[in-house]
Amino acid sequence: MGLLQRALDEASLCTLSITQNLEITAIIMPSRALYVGHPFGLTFGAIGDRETQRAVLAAMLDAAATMTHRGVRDSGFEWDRDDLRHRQLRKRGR
Amino acid sequence: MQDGRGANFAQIERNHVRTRVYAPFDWHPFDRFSPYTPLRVPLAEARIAFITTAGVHLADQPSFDTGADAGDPSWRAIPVETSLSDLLLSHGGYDTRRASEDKNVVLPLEHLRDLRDGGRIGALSPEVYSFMGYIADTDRLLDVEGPAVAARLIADHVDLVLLAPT
Repeated sequence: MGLLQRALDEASLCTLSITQNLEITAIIMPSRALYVGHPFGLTFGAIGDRETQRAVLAAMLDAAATMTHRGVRDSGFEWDRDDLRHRQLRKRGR
Repeated sequence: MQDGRGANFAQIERNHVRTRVYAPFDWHPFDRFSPYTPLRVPLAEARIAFITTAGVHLADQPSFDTGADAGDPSWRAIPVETSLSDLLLSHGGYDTRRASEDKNVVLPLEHLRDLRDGGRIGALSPEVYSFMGYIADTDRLLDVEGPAVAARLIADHVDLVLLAPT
C-alpha cells in the first residue's frame, strides 16, 4: 500500500492512506497516513458494524483535509473484540 | 498507537516471507517521505478516488494470482456504481471469508456513495481500483503499474486519492 501511495505521490496526486502497522510505514514513508488498529481484512471495522465503518472513512476524509504535514495521525480506532489482530501481528492468524 | 504491542511486525513479516514464500524478499526502505500534495478544494467539491489492496475484482475479471511467490502487482478497475454483491475477493494474506460477508470492511463503496449522495464529498471517480496486497517484487509496481493508475486518476481529474490496505 505504501509503495503504491509513493507512486501516486510522485505523480503529484493528493493522497491519504490507512496504515495498520507503524513499523512498515516507518520503512516505506508514504506522505500521509492514518493509523487504524484494526485486524487485516477488517480495515474499516467489524462485519455489519456500519457505524464504525463510516467513522473510519470520515476520519480518513478529515485527515485528508486537515493534515498539513507528512507523517502519521492516530485515528484512535483500536480492536478489542477478540485476539485476531494480536494473532495476525505474530503470524498466528489470518 | 499501540500497534504490535511489543511485536515488530515488519521483522516478523519479512522473516515469514523469506522463509516460506520468496527467499529474496526484503523491504524497500526509504529515507524520506514521498512528496505531499495538499487537497486544493473543500471536500464538498472534491472528486475522490479509492484504492484497496484487498484483492477485489469482478466475476468477469481475472482473479489475482495468489500463488505467485513474488506476488501480483496487477490491478483491476471497478465501476464505482458496482453492487458489493458483484465483487469477489482473491488474496492469500488474509482470510477473505470474513470480508466476503460485508465487503464494506475493505472497500466501503456503499458508504462512499452515501457521502457523495449526501453532499459530504463532491464526486467519486468513475472507477475504484483494486490491488492484491502481497507484492514482494516491487519494481513493476513502482515503475509500471503504480504510474499507470496515477495517469488514469490524473485523467479523471481526481482531487484526492484514499488508499486502504488489508
